[in-house]
Amino acid sequence: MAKVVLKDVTKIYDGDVKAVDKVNIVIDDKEFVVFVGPSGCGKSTTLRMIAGLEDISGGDIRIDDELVNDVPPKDRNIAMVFQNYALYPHMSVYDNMAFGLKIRKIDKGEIDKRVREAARILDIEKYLDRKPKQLSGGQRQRVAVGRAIVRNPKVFLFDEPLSNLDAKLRVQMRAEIIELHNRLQATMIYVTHDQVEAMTMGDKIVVMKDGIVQQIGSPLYLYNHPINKFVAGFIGSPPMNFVKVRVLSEGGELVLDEGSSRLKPDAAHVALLKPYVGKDIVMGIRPEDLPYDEKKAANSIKTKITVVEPLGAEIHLWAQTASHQVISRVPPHHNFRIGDEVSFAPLMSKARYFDGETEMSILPVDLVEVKAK
Amino acid sequence: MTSGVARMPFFTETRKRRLEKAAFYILSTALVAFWLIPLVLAFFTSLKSMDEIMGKGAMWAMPKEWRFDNYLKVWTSVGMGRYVYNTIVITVPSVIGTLALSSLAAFALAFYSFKMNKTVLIMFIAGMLIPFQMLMIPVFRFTDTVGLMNTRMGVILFHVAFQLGFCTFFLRNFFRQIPASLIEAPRIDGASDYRIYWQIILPLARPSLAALAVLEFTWIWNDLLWSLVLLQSDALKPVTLGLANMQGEFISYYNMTAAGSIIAMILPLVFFLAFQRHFVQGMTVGAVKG
Repeated sequence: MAKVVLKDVTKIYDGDVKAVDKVNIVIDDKEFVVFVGPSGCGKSTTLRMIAGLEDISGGDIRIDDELVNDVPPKDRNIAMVFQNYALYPHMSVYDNMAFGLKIRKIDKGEIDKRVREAARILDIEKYLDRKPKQLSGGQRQRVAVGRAIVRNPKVFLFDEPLSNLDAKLRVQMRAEIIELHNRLQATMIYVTHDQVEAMTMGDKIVVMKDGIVQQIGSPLYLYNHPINKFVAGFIGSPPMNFVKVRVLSEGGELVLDEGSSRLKPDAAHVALLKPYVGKDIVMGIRPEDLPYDEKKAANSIKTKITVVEPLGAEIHLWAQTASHQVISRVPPHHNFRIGDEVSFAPLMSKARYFDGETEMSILPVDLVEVKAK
Repeated sequence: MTSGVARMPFFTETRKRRLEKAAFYILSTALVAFWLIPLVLAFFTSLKSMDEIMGKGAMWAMPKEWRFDNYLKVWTSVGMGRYVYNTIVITVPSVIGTLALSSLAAFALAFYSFKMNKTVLIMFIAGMLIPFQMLMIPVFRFTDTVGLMNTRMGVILFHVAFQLGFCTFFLRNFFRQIPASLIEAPRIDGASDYRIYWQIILPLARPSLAALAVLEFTWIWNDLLWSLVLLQSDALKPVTLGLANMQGEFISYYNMTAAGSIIAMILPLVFFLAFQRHFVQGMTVGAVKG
């Protein structure tokens, strides 16, 4: 029903501060897209431009093939859920949800039907007569979501809606919003700084930094094929390990020199690494791809353990090589102590490589994931 | 402090706090009593006859008899009733006009970004700083030119104009504390700017509007200067001018003036008490997080 297309969208503040720089995103109908990035990366500004709350300095925004650059928010057929809920404090929950419908002069019976239906879905029927201040944070957020649902908009916009809730409630609301998306089959755009939220909720993730889109793709694509060091480090928890290595050629074979250990790259990567002989590059390896190496075989890195984090289902080991700190995910049955000298054998086929200067991926990766149709 | 009772120092935390509290109440009561002295004296004076007032040390004395005929006399023969009526007719529209215009101006200044926003705000503030003595003659001549001299409308318009600066500044600062999302949410919901002002902002601003209304009502009610400058006809004069007129060149009827002053005071007092309960803080609690 609703496809949202951003073409070269730019936002410039005060003449020279570029908050959003030539952003190109295609959001398909019924898709759940998450904008994620550190604070100040332009994700909220982009969302607010889609909402019509910010002027667009350059580029085009289309909703359903209609150019909306100069269309006021109320005529864009969108609904937005704010981080601070933005409920009208002097109105009851019912009136908060009915407000937008009353303005649109919708029949009273229809308003009542829609408000009660939304309240039922969100389990807030009991609170319809209450004022927002009599509700808990989670309930308020539900009312804010309800206010969006009753409008039956083409596109739902969420601006960090869960960041004011405590951790447990956040997980619960996360699941409820995903369920809501499945039920309503609407296009949803969701902004967050929390990469876990992005990974768990999004059909598609847009990673942003400094106003520039870094990469667009499904959660697993971004996890497995990060386009640069930033995306690699931002997606995933605990984050990917970055190890500075020098590419050496010894007797016709490539070797990666970490400083204290030497590693042999996977055969599939050799050709791509060849141009970097004699240069420093960054090797990225996920904590789960850095298993504990009991046999101290070759192609491993020797470390000393500095922190042990037993999480029950697994252990996170923080370890120090001569020049780097790395984190490894190991099964819970091991018994490690701080100071233990341990070897880890990275799965070289899973390693990612980044240019030492540009920090771009040396392995070929798509900026926008191309989905097989 | 887990040591035994025997070791407890004389000035424990609670005892100290209690003493502080007592001192606070005693001091406050004394201050209030001090402030009320003129009022009480005026009330006593209003009950006395002129002979009683002129007696030695009479100012501080209680009236010999509690007689209220001065009030009756001042209401009927001096025309206090008409003066009070004139003041009401000037004050009420002035307060309503000031609040209506300043809340609109404050709404625009607080929530819209436009080129001259800061400049306009600064002009409002700068206007507050001009001493009225400087404006008296220009205002007098201007009023005469446009034909508003000796009309209630003239006084009302000038009250509105001169209170606008302070009220706009006050309300704008209050509005700035309202989170921007409370403007943006209704905008997305489809509300017009006027509806946002009327249905969202004004209800939220009720406590500050009430506070301003009380202040403005008292100020305009008690105004002497603008009426003195702009009104000549006795039929139009407000209560402040009426009271001033009662001071004779050779003899002043202090008892009558006192009675008139007390009468003049009643309405602002009632107004204050009526609006006091609207000084409800925390109207925005529940709107946003926390």
